[in-house]
Amino acid sequence: MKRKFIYICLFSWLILAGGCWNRIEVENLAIASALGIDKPAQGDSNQVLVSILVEKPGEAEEGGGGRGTSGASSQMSGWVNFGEGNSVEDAIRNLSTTTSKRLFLDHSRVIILGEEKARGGVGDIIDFLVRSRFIRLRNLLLVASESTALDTFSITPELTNIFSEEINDLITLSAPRGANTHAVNLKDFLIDLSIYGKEAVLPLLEIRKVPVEQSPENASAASENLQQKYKKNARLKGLAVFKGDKMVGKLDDMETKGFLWIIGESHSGTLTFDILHPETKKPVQATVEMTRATAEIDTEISDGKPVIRVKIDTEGNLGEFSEPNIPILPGVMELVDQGYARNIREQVKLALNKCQKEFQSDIFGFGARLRRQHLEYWKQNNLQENWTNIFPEIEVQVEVKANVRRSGVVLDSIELR
Amino acid sequence: MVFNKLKEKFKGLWADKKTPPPNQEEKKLLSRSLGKNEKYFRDTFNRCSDVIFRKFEVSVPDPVPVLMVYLDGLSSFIVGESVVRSLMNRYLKEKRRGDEPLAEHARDHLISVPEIKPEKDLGKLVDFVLSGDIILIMDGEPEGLVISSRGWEARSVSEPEAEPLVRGPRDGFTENIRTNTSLIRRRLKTSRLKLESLEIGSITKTAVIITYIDGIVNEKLVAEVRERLARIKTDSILESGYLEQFIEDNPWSLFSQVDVTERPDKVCGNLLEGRVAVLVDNTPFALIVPVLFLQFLQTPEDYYMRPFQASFLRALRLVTLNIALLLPSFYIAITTFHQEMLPTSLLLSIAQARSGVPFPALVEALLMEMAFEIVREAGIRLPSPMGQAVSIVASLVVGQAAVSAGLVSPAMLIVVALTAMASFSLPSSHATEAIRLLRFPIMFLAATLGLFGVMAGLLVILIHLCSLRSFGVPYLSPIAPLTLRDWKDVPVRAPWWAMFTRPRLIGYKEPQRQEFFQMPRPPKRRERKP
Amino acid sequence: MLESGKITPGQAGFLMIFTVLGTSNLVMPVLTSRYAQMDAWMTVILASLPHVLLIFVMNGIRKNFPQESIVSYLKKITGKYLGILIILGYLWYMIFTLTMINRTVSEFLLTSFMPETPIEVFIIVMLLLGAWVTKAGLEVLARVATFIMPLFLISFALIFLLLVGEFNFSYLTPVFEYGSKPVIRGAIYPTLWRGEYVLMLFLWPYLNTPEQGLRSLLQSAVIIVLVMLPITTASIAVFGPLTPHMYFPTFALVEYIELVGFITRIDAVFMAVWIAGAFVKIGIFYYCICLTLGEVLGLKDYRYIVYPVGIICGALTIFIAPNVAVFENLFPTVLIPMNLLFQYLMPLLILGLIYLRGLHKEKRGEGDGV
Repeated sequence: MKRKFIYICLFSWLILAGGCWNRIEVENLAIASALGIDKPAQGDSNQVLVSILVEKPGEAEEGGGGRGTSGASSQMSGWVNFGEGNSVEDAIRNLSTTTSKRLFLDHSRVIILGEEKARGGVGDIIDFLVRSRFIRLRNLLLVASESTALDTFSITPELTNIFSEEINDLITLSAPRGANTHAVNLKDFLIDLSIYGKEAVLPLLEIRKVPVEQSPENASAASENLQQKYKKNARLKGLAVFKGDKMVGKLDDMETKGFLWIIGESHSGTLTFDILHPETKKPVQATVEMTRATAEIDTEISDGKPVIRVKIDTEGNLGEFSEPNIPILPGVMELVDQGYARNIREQVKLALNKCQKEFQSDIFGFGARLRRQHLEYWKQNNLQENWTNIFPEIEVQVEVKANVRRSGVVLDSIELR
Repeated sequence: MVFNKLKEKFKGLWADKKTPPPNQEEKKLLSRSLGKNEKYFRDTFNRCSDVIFRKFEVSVPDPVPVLMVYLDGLSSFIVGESVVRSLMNRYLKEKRRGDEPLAEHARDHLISVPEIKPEKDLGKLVDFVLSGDIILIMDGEPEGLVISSRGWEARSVSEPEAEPLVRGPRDGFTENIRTNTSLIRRRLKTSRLKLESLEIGSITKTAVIITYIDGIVNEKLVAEVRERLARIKTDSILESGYLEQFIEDNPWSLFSQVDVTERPDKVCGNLLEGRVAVLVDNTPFALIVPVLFLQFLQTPEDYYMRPFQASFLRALRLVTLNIALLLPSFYIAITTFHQEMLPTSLLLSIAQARSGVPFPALVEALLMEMAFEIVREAGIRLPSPMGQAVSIVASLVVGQAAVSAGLVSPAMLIVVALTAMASFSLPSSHATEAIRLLRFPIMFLAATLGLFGVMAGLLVILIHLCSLRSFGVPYLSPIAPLTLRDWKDVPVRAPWWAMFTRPRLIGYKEPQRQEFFQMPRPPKRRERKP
Repeated sequence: MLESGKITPGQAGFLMIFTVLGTSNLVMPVLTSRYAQMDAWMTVILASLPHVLLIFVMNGIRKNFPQESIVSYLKKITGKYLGILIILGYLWYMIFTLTMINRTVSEFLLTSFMPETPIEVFIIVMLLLGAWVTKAGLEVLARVATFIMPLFLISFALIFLLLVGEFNFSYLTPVFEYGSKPVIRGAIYPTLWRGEYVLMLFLWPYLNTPEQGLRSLLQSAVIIVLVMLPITTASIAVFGPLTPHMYFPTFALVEYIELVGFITRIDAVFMAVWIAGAFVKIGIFYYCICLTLGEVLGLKDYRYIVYPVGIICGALTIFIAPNVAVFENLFPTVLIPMNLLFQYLMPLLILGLIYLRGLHKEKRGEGDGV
């Protein structure tokens, strides 16, 4: 026992004397909440420009609400720093020469790629994203639409204190309600890049400029600097379509919706379309609020050619008519159902057309599905190599089953005099 | 190594200095001459001002000088008075046969005291005097009389302060061992409750009672307790704590392997599970062996409450045990090594709070823990109204000032306060002692190796706990080794009607506690109809 | 025999679960999916066949020598010198495995948590813990295992439960994409890990009811499948084609856990629990090494050699490989042949020799029914 005691003492002395290798106090960390990767505006195209948004503890404490509205509209949520380098790791090292505290990237839950960089290909940074222990597979990836990642850091978070939280909440909580974006985390992105027969998409982040109200107390401050009469907000708009590791184009709102219908990731949203008034036969606008949607992709080989069948099954509630005095009759609901299905089909067609004809990029994963269901065919035709060539010509049949079940809290709308 | 060498070196020393055992004096018998006897006692009790010698004459029928020796304060005054009165009553016309010894006559006819016995040995007579009996020596008699009259002043039975309960009996042990045995006997009205008496300590001659229920207890356990107690050769036992340290299995362990209580109901409950209790005179604290680690997370009240509440409280205590041991270390490990574990906003506010603090987290934590221990100690040592005032001053003024002066961060204050509350919420101060001490090494490990260090520390503790035994019973049972049957009373507390059997590992003879299937049910319909 | 303590068959089962799961939670899905790709989950089941066979073979061996340690009966079966030689081979196998385990765990800690810490720190700490539990004896080791077991199993259950919403079972199809050969090749590694049950040859004499050992070992084999199957399936269903590329895929699963936005990045807690599991595994190997070596050397107490063995193992752990690539290369080049020899071939050979030399009959006359 005494001997054990001596050993314990010796052991603890060794540990204590050895030092504390990875120890760092919280206040000595530069906590980066977002990581941006860009192509440098000038200079060597092989270089990367890495920018970080470092949260300042004190400012996050003060509360975002007060900060956003009080005068200086271009206030950012933290401190933006950037560095160039031959590789991402190199750029980060260079970046830390201008950061007075130890850089801490574990909290950068959002990774933003500049559009330039995305179009130029992300192959050179993928390895960093996989290998680095700071980057989690949960991290969200976004492409900055028509700007650099560095610029997006000037976005003011309005409802939270932290930039990454704002983007994270925007994309995971609020965006699905509008159904025109699709959250993609690093894991999904990597799988899309590595799996055969599927291309990657990333959500687009747009900087939206909002004029600042000129309240009396900050009027003078604003007039001094005219450039500051806008504040920058974040907005998610559409998707960036990749082919291989290169971004090839963008889907707009409608096409994004179509894409989401096909992959069955459409969770909620509204659709507005025209139906004919049952009595007057005049077109009336109806809005349906989608409540549930599933999609099933089936593949089939006919005449030695693959055919893709997409079955979409959806339900919705009636949101509004643009005209009162429409009775809710079975016939009317049928009309609405038809209009709903037609509308979905249109959106799907839009997305399919764009991807097949314009981008030639199979973001829907039809190829992967085909491979799963018809492995023999896949191997025979060496589709591993050829799929991208075949994809634009492939036949896609879309079948939509749409049901509008409920009509809100009234049946017939009130009759206007 | 070094210690062993030292021991070798000093072995000779011990042997040389060994004093002869004090009980080695040859037996001295009572002399027939009262004068000689009196001289002996006067010599023995030389300069003992509390010994009273009362000499008087009894005349049955001829006057005989009698000496009464007793201790002032320790012996009951009333008994002494009645003895003197009955012996000096000249009007008593007692018939005494000529051949009947006077002592016998006095015992059988004159003295109206329940317990009285003859004794020849002078040494023992002295002992009896010292333990509060009255001795009576008559001239010309070979035997003295020992009149049991131990009636010293004692604290009355009151609520145990260290182990208060909301629901449960309010009586606690006192310093008087007889009162204590009576408290146990009152609850266990069976002749199977055995109380074996011993005396330990050559000077203190402390009465020690081993108590158990015959037929339930494992005989080997009793024999082991007996043997360990018999091994003790010391001159003094002032409190059961002395005994505890003599009979522990592993004296170098931080963890107590003997349970201590001042609640008779707890002792009885443990006896009924087949344990052995050791009562010690002059202390209200009884020892219970063997003890399991998880027992320290139980209170007698668990058994009086409804099972759900009791089970919840047991789970809660497991949580608080972990908080008390680990929270500061976790805080240090996370803020200095694993910052990624915290949500960003929390990390930022901790960074903000710590931004002015000059010390690393470890030093900060150590400072606050030390401050807390000081406050705690000060609060205990001071009289209770003052103690509260001190704790308020310490917590409010010092804590607040330390935070506003930027010496510690508010987060650390919360952590330390939570730890303190958690350690107070553990029912046994015995268990918290080890936890309190172990907190510090784990904090060091956390500051050097992060959570890996914490885990390494925990594993060392686990190895130690697993190798520990309390009177042969593995300390961590019934978790390790696993005895699922005993789990009805360890992580949860099953309803009483479901606890048919006693815990298994303690080693019992009579496994069944009660009849099976006594779950209360609503009366059958036909019974309900009158 | 050098150990006076006895353990229950259930405890032996727990110990064996740790010998398999202690490190396979870290490396297994990647080693299997490297060959079997998305069919890796099948290797878990496939590996059970040799595993169960091994358990029966060991039971057959120990039935003939119920109260003897392997050192003493091997001498009877093969003759003194050959017996010692085989035991030395086993010692080498165990020491090598111990260093591999230790290195894996240390690499894991280093890459995932503390990249700036020298690896020696982890190696020394783990070996010291192993040394202490070895000194404390078999009973304590078994109790430690019993204590950690629920935490360990809960950690796996949690991974599965917290990630069940993220599963994409389409990654599991098509089944047998590359045929059945890669699956069989992939099953080699889990088979080797399960083969560590061979340590029961050393521990079986210390069961208090040896005849129940077979049953509890088979139960533990089922538990292993029940743990590894969901974990392997989970890592494939979550990471799909990324699985074979990860260094510690199960750990990546833990990193991927996110629940209600708050329970996130709890990997350090899992790391702590798994370190405890790996520690038990190290403890078992350490103990078997010291016990067997002590018996071979004819010592009074195996505890004398605990620290020397630790120093040897520690040095080996550091010098076994200069970098990750060399270390990973040890798995196919050294581990496979050595493990197949000592885990499967040798017990079969011993059993065969027992029957060939007719040693079973004379024993059966003495101690049947044990």
